[in-house]
Amino acid sequence: MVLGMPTKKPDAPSKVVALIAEFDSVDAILAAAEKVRDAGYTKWDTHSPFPVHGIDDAMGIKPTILPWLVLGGGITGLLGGLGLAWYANVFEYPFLTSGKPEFSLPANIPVIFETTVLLSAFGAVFGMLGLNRLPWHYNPLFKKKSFSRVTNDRFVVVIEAADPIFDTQRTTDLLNSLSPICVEEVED
Amino acid sequence: MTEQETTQSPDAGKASTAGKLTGGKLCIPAVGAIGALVPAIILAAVGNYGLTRFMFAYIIAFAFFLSISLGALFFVCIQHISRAAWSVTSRRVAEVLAMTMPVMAIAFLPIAANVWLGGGDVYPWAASHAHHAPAQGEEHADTTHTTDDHAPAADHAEPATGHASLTARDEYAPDEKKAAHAADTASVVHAAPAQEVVVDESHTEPAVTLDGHRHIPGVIDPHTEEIYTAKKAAYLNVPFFIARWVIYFAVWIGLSFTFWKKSVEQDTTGDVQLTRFMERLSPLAIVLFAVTVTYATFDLIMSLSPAWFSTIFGVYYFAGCMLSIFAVLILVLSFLRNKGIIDKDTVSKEHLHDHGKFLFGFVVFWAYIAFSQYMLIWYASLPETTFWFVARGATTVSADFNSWSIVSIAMIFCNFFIPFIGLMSRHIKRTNATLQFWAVWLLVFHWVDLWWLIMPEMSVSLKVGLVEILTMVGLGGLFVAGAVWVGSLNAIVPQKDPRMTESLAFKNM
Repeated sequence: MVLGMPTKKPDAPSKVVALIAEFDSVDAILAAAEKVRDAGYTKWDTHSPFPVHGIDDAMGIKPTILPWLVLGGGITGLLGGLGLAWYANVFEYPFLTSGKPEFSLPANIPVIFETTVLLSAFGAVFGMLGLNRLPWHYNPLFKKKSFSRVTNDRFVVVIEAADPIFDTQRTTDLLNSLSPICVEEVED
Repeated sequence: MTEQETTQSPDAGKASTAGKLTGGKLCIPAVGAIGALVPAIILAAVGNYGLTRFMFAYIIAFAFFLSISLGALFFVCIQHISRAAWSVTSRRVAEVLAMTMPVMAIAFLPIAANVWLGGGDVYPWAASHAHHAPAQGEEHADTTHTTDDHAPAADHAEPATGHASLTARDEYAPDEKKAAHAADTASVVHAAPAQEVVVDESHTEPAVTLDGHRHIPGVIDPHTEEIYTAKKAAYLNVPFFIARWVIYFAVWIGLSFTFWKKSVEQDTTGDVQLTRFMERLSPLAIVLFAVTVTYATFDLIMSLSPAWFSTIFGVYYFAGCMLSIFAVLILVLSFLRNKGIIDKDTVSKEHLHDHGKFLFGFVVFWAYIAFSQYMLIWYASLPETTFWFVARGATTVSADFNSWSIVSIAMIFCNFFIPFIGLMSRHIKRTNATLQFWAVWLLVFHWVDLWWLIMPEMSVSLKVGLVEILTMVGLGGLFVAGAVWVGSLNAIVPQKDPRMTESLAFKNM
């Protein structure tokens, strides 16, 4: 889960959009993630400098639908390549090559293979960007000191204010109970 | 890695929880299975093709089990060259499977004997009378046929536009005009008339054995085959063939033994230098492997049809080697886990998942190579290469379909599309029963693949039956007995490997 796009009004007082808790070890982040998951939060995320084994289970992340997008891209590429080969060789510009039939599948398989791979890759890349709502030009997390070492040696849990059971006081208490290095409020 | 700087790695003390195979129990039935070769020989001997049938079945079975041994050797090499940690717990099983190489060397002896004594009933180039042309073949060589019952006349009205035809058969179609043209061409190149490829057209007629030769009717006539064979005599001759196989087995046994021995040595010493040594050896091993496997495939399978050639053929067999080793590793590791010989956390679902990914990958690789080979030959449509696919009915010309066509078409689906879709899902690869199902499926169709490569050289009709099954059981018995015996000598999971901790902790993201 990621933060929603902030809508900042010039004179509006800054409001809390998330709470961030900083940890200094893999074990701590795993334990913290399990507690947050069990508390029932849905709009929250963890950040770490490297992939943490078992974080998916600890966070209770559901399987992504990305493979289905890739499959959809692949099937589109397959049918598109097949259609393109037929359209070009049979319908639009029939031309006798090497005495082969106008529509001869073996000759067209390389084309179909390439379009299948191409659109599968598009499905993977653009599907990933779409599901992550990327690209993002601004994220209030970058203003926080606790977040600055997340690409180096720190691990953080971020719970969004948009979460249905978010309550500034109670969520802060929960995070504090996980023995983090610190808990900060993230303003827009 | 700093841990490797020390002689004894810090993980060395961390023994994996692995038992040993109790060899004696499995060895006896396995050795007994070798007896299945006897009824196979008897059954073949009373059949139409005699002992030739047995030899063809034997070569299929030999190629099948050799592909497992070779795949295992290559698996070990790539784990070392890539310094892989995930595979450490599975590696010993592969080392043991590669150590079946001496058994395969023994199993090669009947083939060597056949080549030495058989007079070319299996390998035509091994005939002692290599330059003797069969009587009927001579007739074929000098005349272009004037009868064609199969192709409709319309087929021959067209070539006036100058299309290249799809198959060899059409190229030499007996249209009067074409015949005259062919005769002209022949006289132009008369300096080398022997090189003209003449393709027999009687291939829908029953198989005829000419002068003791195997004859695939209508595919390539024996005379042409002999001309090509004679040209390749410097390579395809009995002494050199035997010498090459001595070299192949020397290389394979040497490498398998070295990797197995060093790995076993580490079980007791925990010496990191052994790992270092194998990492340095593996690039050389892979080069030797590539060269020997390529030529071994040419010798074992491609030279059954000595006129034919395909440079990618070695890679094709290699693809089968890798498919079979991952299928076998999945089955063996699952078996050892279920028996409690390997702990379920030592080789976990994560490791099996990775083997499944490789299995899936090599399904695609096999299809890629198989299609590459087919498409180039199909597209160029040169009679001296297309006849091999025509013999297997793998053609887009409906007049050339034969009884092997159904196998060729089935293979597209059973060796590629069905397992490709079947193995695609992560859940299937992570579920033991489904993963094993696909491993068995692919082993069965790997055998079909080899059968399709080898058996059409004997018979235009589909030949499969008890002879093939019993031969597989017999050679399988020898293979399993060898593997179980080697496997029971040491722990079935490496001990004190420097990457053991990393391997045990391995998880897919």
